[in-house]
Amino acid sequence: MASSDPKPRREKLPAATARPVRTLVLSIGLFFMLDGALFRSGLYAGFEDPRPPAGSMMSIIHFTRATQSDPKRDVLVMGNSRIQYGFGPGYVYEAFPHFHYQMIMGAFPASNEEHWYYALHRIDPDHDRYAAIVIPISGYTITPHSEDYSREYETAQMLAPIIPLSHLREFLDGFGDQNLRWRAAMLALFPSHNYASDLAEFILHPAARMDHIAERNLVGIRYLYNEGGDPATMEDLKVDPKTNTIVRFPARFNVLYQAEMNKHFVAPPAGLARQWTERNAAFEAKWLGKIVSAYKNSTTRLIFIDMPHQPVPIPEQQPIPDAPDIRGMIPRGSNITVLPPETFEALQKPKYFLDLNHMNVFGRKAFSVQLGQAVNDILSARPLHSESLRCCSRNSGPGVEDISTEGLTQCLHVWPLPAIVVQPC
Amino acid sequence: MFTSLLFYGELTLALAAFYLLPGRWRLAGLLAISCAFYVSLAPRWFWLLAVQALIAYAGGYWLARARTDRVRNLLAGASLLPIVGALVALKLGNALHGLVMPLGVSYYTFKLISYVLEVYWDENEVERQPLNFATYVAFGPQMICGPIARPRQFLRQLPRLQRGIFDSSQFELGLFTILRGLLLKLLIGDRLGLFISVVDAAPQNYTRGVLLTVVLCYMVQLYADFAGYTLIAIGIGRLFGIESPPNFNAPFLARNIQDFWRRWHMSLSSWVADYLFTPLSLALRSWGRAGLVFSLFTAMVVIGIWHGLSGTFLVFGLLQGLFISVSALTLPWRDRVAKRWRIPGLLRRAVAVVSIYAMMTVSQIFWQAPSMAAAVLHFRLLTRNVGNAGLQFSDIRTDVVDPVFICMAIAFYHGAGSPGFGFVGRRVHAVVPNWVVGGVALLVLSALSIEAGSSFIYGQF
Repeated sequence: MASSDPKPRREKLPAATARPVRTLVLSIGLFFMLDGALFRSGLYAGFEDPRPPAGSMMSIIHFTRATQSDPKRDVLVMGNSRIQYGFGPGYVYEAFPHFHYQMIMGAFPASNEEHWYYALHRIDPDHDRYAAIVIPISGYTITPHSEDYSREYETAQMLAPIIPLSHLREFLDGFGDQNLRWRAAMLALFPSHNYASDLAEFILHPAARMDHIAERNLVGIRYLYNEGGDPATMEDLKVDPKTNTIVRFPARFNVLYQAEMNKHFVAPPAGLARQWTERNAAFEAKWLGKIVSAYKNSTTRLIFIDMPHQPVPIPEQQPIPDAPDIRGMIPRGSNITVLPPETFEALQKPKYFLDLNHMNVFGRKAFSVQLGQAVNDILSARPLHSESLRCCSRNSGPGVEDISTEGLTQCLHVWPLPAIVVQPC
Repeated sequence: MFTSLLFYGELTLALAAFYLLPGRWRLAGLLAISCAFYVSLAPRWFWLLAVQALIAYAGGYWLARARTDRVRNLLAGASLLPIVGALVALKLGNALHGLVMPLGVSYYTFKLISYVLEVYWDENEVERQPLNFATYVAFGPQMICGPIARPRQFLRQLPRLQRGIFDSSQFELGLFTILRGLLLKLLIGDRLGLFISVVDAAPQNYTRGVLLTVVLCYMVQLYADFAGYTLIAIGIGRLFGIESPPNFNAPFLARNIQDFWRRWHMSLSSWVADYLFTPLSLALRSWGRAGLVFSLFTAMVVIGIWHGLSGTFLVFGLLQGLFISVSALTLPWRDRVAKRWRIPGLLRRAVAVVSIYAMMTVSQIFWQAPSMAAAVLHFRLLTRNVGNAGLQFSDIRTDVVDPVFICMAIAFYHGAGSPGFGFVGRRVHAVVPNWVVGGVALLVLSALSIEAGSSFIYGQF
């Protein structure tokens, strides 16, 4: 009989079946709740002052947003570690005691135009917070450097915690590599993962970190300027002009750093150089264009500068013969100023650099003073008086070609300090 | 693989499909999932897995029907020869021409050998259902890092699976086993691995202090990496209702080197003990101590070259053979000395722990080195302070170097059986619900695991 051979039916699951599923769902729910409350909200970044790469960008955003702005006086200086090392607002005030503007540091290490665009989106959403924004370019002519910014995990780490959901699709599409796009999506989904190294350091050295936080809270936003200040120079660097190779390194560089420097003294093959130049040009055009477009109808002036970026010519950074010029990529606008490339050219000397990329304390001072002067010239008709600088540099005037390092050293104790005090010489 | 979030998305789908199937279809579902998993990772080599499995299945089938010893010997030889031959050929190809090994070949080959030998020794061990046999061979969670399951232990679980029984405790245990594995692998193993990879990229640049720390890291890093991955594999198996054999049992608390190998990579060492060492030592028992030593050396060399046919793995195996032989031969004498001098058990245990760690660390230099020259360079740099460029801990990125010592301590503690943890765990479990533990553990995992590519050392074998 058919009824004696019943159709096999699905086993009925016992009541306990739901338990592991419930545990799993609740665990994941709790995780997202804690992750969001601690890390997505910015609570951790605001309290703890996380370290680069993710943290420094969060700190800049945190501080600048928390500071009352004066749209007629505040000038934001964007940039990466080159600006962090190369620019100190205190030197501007020190050189020009009656400087009308307030220079705000907006630079964070390992960043590029894409980061700046998103950082500005958070810092200045209405595009009316600053009198001007300085955007430094490391050489107006596009170079064939090998770094592919669209394939950098650091970019994902820095941007994932701050990316607005409305930009998520565009942000992920920006990564050329499928695997990286996936990892970036993970970082956007789990903001806590951005702080893995930082949190480990905090756990391992809680006392040191708490001291740092206390100091930061005491100093306020000016703690962001406390970079650089190293008097070491690159004057001991010797490059064989025939072979374009380094024949002598400054003694302080260990073998790892020497190997890293050597990598930059290898020019890419012609085919690759062209390919990378085109890639880099497309990147610059995209993100500089977006920044300019965002400030199209704003009263904020965008000041593009060609900042000192190498102590000696570096083969990897030598443009190919018909390389495009960034100045041609920046859309025209009444609020756009592009400083001539020779403005800071005199500072591209070994004595102003700490390593291949970053300026030392002498370069920092000279560049800061010159940038302050340039900003004032662009934004104001009033001339600057530079008594302090004249006194300290002795043989030179403001915007000088060659500031003596001895003279500058006398002023170094002035900055960084919690309060800016201009010492009479 | 087991550390990618994408994998867990796919696993969720696979589990949903598996449990939605009626009981009688679940085995076929599990086989389909396992095959899909293998094909997604190594599509070029699926045919080898299928052919090898077919050979072993046919060999076992005919072995069980054979009536004379001569035929049985012939059949066993005919089955084992292509299986072992393929593994040796692939290992040779890897050693000589850099051929990338097919995924899991070392693990499933040992499973197949195990099956053929079991049937050869006892015809009742034959598995007549091709579906059961194929699932045993291709079971996905055991494919990347083992454990090397034995046929009987695996196959006896399948009827339960086909009855469609869902064991919620085992499922939940599986979830937490995966979580434990991920914590061990990503938080400890990967951080130590990053430190090792930074220094080992150019060991001649570092001071002896740094190099010594790296060498001391080898064992604990390998443990955290491998034990973590194994726990994940065991956990995934549990989610599908399959219990896998353990691979580690507090190896750093071993009493002697023989005991260490009973606790370290247990599924491989017990496999070698059962199918090689025991038959060989029985065959050579007339040789006395020489037979024992020969069997030990053979077993350890096989374990060494199972990892790869290279000089470094051969030396690793020979060193293990030497250590284990000396230890086995001197054990009665050491017991007598300890008794006569009334050496406290705790002191003896401490000496054992330190000396075993030292012995394993020395052999790990060969195990970890990409070539004999690299291993020799390590020894030279460690013993003579020549050629070192003098980089110290302070020259290494702080996020790489700072967590090293605490990670070493945690990995060692875990590898010593986490004494006291069970007591604390029970107390916590009594007051904190599992989902809270799970949620916090996930947060710790997300917030403290590093992005290091998360490679798996034993994946290459």
